[in-house]
Amino acid sequence: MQHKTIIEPFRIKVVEHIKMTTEAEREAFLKKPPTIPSYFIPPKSSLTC
Amino acid sequence: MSSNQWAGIMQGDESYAGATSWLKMEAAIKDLTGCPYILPTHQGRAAEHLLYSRIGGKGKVFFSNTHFDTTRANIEFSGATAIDLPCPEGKDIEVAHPFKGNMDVAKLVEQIEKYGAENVAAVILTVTNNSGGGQPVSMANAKEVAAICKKYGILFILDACRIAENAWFIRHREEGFGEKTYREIAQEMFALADGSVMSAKKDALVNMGGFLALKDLELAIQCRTVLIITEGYSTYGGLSGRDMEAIAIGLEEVFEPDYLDYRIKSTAYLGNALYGLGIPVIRPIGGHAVYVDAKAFYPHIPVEQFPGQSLACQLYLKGGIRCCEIGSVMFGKNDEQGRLIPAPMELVRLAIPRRVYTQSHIDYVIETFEALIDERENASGFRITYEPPFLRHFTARFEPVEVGHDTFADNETLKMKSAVRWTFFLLVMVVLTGLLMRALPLLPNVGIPFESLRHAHSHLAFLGWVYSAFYLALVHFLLPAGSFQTPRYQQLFWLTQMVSVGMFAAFLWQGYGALSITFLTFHTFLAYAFFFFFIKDWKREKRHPSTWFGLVAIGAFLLSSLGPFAIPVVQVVGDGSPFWMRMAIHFYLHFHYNGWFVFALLAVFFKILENNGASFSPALTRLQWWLMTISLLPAYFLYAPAAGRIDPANPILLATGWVQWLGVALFIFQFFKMKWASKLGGTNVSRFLLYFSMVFLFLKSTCELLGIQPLLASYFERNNHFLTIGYLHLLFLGSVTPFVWWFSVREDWVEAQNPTVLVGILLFVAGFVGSEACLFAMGMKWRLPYFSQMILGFTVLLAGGIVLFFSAFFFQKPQQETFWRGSLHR
Repeated sequence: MQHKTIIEPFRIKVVEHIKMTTEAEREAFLKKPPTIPSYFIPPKSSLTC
Repeated sequence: MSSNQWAGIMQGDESYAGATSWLKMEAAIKDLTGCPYILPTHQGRAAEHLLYSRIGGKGKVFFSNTHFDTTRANIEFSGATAIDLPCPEGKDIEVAHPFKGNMDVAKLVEQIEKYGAENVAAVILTVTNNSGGGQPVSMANAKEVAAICKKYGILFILDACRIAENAWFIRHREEGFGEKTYREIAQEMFALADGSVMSAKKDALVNMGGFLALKDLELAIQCRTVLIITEGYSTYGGLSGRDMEAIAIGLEEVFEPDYLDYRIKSTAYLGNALYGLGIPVIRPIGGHAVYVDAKAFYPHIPVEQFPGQSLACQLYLKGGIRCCEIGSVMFGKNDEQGRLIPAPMELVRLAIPRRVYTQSHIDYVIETFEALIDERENASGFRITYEPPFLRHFTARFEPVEVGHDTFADNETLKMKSAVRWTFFLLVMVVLTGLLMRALPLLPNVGIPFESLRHAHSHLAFLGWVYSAFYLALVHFLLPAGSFQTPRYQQLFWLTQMVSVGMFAAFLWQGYGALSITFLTFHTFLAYAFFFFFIKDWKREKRHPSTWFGLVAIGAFLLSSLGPFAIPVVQVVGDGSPFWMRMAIHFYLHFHYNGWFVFALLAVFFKILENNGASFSPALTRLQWWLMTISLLPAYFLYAPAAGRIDPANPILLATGWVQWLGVALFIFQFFKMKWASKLGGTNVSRFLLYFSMVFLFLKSTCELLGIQPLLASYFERNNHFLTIGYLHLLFLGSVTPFVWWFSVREDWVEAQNPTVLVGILLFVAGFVGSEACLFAMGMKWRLPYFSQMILGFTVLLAGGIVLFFSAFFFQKPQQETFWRGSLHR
């Protein structure tokens, strides 16, 4: 059978917690005065694409 | 990473040299690339640095289907030039083509011929083409590039970050590869190149690492030397044993068909879903990422305000999704004027980490985009507040810009407002010293001699207030847009201001002395520098009056500056007679006043006329220019009778008086006949200022004419200070100052709607007209009772008016008017 759903060809053995943030928190991160390195927004709070 | 890789990590051999983990990694890379010389690095960009700093340098050129950001930066950092040669289909976001990442081979040959093969450091084929939308490169294209490089003897380098994903596309899209394994396809492509760089963070499925693989021993030895200096010994290159272990395993796993199927199809899942929502994405969908065309998604945000950056911020704000702008933040440059040269495309890259997220994460991303569609008109652009010279997208800082704003023009206005504010402050200082001079006879001893005050007052008026105001006007109106933002005109302006302040203080302190003369000289040389650059940057139109008047204005300034230099000559070489001293000073005053001030005013005025599409008679204007210009030099001698050597009835003098008057009269005639004031629009306040300025220009010229009439000439005897000051103020306060106010109000550099401004202007007019009447009455020998008290009273009105006018805008912060009104989400 030809499946429509592409399943991930792996099982997840270890998981990493993603901190769920609110929009207000994210806005505060964006407006926070930058420090070096300024490139980063807190990675634990985002889905990194 | 996979469980196998994590298991490998536990077995990492952390020996300094020749670790078994290194041997595994080296063997895996040798087998894949076919290169005998492998140099491990901590990242792909380190490998790039080793190679490109070695083969690059000034005068060298690199070609690529599209250089990635770190590639371009490493090349440009070495002093070489990086040129992108993507195939035509790659530049079209919508067109369907199986291999949009290909290089334009015809262009490649053309460019090699143009630069000369000996100057081409390397040709780099990036697979897949990351900055070009993650699009694949066909084997046929790689073969063609390899053949061209071989023919010209040029190094052919593969940037192999995503070689496995590229192999998937070749197998499924290119004829003749359907039966081959992904690994075999990759090996075939590696075989074509002279070497490769790879960031192992991509298709080696690890968190850290990279390598440089080379076929040439000599080059490998040279790169290895730098590797040992900058990265680490040649068997670890900055990597831990465990990282190398994971790379060796990852390079095997990445070619598994199930993995590659999942990888390519799950990326396509996101891309096709977004396309289905009507989001403009690069199609067909690439291997590792979906590229959104932010310029098309946010058509209301100009490229100067970085629509890609805006989309990236919105995605984070709404969904906590972090992505990357690949547009003018990353690849844009600034031209000499500081104006953005945009990147060809404004993209946002949604690169998907390998084996990290599940379909529900991706569905969440799609859902976030749905929300952004509904609010897309509200997204604001950004301006950069800080940027480094290279790879600015990593460390630049931004602030939001209100929708509809032109950031470049905003920045210019902001800089101009600061400069204009300062210039008006100088005017306030000028009138306050003037006021002190008037008050001096009625005050007890204030400790500053009247002469010192007079010098400080007049020099700050000439070289502080009017020079600065015309500096700004000439740069703003006559030079290309944005010139005032350039460091040259900024530094020169502010340096001149420092000198003016020093000069002012020196005059107050010591009167005409060594220090004040030093400042004066310094000011003159800064003005020379300004006019040198100004003439160079000024794109003159021969047929336009602003050009004729501007050139005479600058010529007159330069000529006038010779006057002060003549003073020591008169003292040392000549007899130092008061007549010649006076004539030297008058030389300066005449060409400065009647030349520089009047002609610069007219140059700016005609340019504003042109900018507003107001018509003028070319013939009359030309005649006016001729009359004013030919009378400028002999008009210098109009003063001479007062100095005591020339007959006031001299016919040449009389003719000169009439010619200069006719020139100005022609201008005033056109001004009213062509209804320039109403054509130029503006508020009633600004129109009033313009009328005022023009009327007093005419009055000043008429006074000059009357002054040489035999009947009145007798009044112009030596030391008639009342008439001299009255006459100087006629142009300075009557015409030039209101003119500067006029264009400052027009350009919105100063506030004019405020009621304080109106009161200020009325007080100024009353004070000015009153004080002029007093001065002229005294000059005509009508002895006025209580003259000192009267003129002090009028000067208080005049000064109060200017201070009120000034206070209406000086205490406002320009930033608050322009920026930060917009918030990120409104």
